[in-house]
Amino acid sequence: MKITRFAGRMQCAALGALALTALVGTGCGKNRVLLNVDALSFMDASQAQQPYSAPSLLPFSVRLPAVPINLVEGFADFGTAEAASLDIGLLYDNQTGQGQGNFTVYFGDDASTVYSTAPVATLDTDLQPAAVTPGAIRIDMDQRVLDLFTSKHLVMGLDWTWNPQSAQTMQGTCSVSKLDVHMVSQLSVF
Amino acid sequence: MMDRDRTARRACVAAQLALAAASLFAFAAPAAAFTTDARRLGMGSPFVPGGRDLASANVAYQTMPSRRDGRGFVIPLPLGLIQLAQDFPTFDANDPNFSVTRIANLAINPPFFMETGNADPLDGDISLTIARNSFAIDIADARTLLPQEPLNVGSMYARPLFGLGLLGARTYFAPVVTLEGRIAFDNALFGVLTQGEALLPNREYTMTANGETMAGASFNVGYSGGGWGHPNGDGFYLGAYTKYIMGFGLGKADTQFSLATGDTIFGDSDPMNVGYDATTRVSRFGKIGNGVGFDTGVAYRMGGFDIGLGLRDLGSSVHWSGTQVDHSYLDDVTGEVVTETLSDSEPYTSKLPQQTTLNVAWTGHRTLLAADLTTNRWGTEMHVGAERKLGILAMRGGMLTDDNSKVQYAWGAGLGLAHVCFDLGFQTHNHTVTGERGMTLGTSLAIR
Repeated sequence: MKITRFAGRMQCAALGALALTALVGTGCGKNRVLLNVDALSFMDASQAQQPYSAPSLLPFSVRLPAVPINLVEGFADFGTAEAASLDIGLLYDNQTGQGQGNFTVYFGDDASTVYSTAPVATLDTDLQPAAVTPGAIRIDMDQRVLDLFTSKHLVMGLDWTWNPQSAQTMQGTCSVSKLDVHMVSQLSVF
Repeated sequence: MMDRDRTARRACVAAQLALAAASLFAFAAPAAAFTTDARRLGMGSPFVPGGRDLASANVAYQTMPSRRDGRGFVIPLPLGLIQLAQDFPTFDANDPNFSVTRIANLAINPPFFMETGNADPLDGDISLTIARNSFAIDIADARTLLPQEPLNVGSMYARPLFGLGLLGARTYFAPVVTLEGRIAFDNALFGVLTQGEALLPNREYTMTANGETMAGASFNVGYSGGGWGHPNGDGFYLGAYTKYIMGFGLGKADTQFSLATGDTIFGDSDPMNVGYDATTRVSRFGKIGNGVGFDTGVAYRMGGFDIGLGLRDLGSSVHWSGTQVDHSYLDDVTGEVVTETLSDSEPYTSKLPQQTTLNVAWTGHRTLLAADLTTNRWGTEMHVGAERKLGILAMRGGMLTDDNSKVQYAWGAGLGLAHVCFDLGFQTHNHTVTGERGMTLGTSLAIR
């Protein structure tokens, strides 16, 4: 019996890029690869919906345990990441009180240090009593985060802070409706 | 984590092998329609009485007298080679003009005749959408590249090279080359690759690819005759040849690529399980295969009318006494491709494709009409064409259905001076990696 070992580029090939290269024949190297990551899907349903109750004039914060996100392996081998953006969608159902909700997103390569990295996005939303208020923002991400999304594993950190600005307790629920990452790469397999 | 490393490596290995199988499939497809005669090309490639191609498809035509305008010898003018020399594709992947699709199209359409137009560069976007329990790949170009129905394609080259004849008894030598392939996706995998459907948990996706090729030579002996002295060749003709086939080489592969998803696609555990299983069979150099076959045909000529029915390779097969059989698979534990030799002396019999050709033609003073229907295990092709002479000029047109049942069109012209004809023909085709329509310009000289 002989055993054939496959090495080199094949060792770290991404499944998606493999399907591409195998079945489209790698085109002519001018293809764009659009990577869309639904980061929200990696969170438990309970994490995506945060009830809050902030006493008058006292900030109230929630910090999630780091959320692991697994991606395709070896994506960086198949192209050069050129740009990435993050779409955030929130929905505040504020029952009582008035103030501001602050939502902060972090991305890092390690769960223990993700909250010490620079925040990727911050979304501040003014909240009124008995009102449902959406919040949305699109952020262009920097090279550090771009590199993270070409790796096969990263972690995401989420912080909420509510700052009551009235005498009434600020109470309600914040739902995360969208956490989409869009990355554009130029395919380069040679 | 180790599991996912292995899984990715397995995916890579399997996909690369799938690519190899798909390439075999792609390369096999177009060879059947290849002709070096620009006259036939411009008429939609029907068999024309008096041509060598028809004598190969129907042995009854081997002794039928040629028509007044029949071609004795055709000298193709390979403009495609000049075109290629002027604009040779780069093989340097870092060159901005590097194009895999152009190289692939050149392989599919050998640059003998000139190709007009530029092929789609296959530069569509590829979208990967990742969620914890879903993985979708949307490849814009794959929608036109991959077939949903299992596709069987193949070609065979077996034209007489030289021979001798005496009183109807003839013998001749012909090279024999066959190449065939089959590729099939299950519905789930086809949806993933071409419709952008997501890979879902706890599913299995499968692709199978099979291919076989053989090269050798045949020594044919038999009888063809008819007409029995009628001055203009009218009458009934028949031919029957038996052949000894000597096989010089054989290769065969049956592969299956599968992808099984676990409970969670992008979770920490239960990675995707990629499977690859292949059985290959080869006859080593120096081991000769032996076989026999039979060709027969009948034809009838009455005035300007010709009709014939030819059967080629009836029961033709080649027996290989000792082939090497290898089994390859991806080892679940190590993630490596393991190849075991199951046997190095297993007998195998390869069967050559039986081909049936029905042709009909009418040759008038200035007009030629010709049509044929050719069928074998890879499919059925139909060719219809016409030629009209206007002095020393000849105008031609025709249409055909190709090996993928697509209708193609042809037109052309010829200029005849004394015993020499210059022919020029255009014919559309879909022999490109993207399946888009292309057009071939062929030119040739012929001696009448």
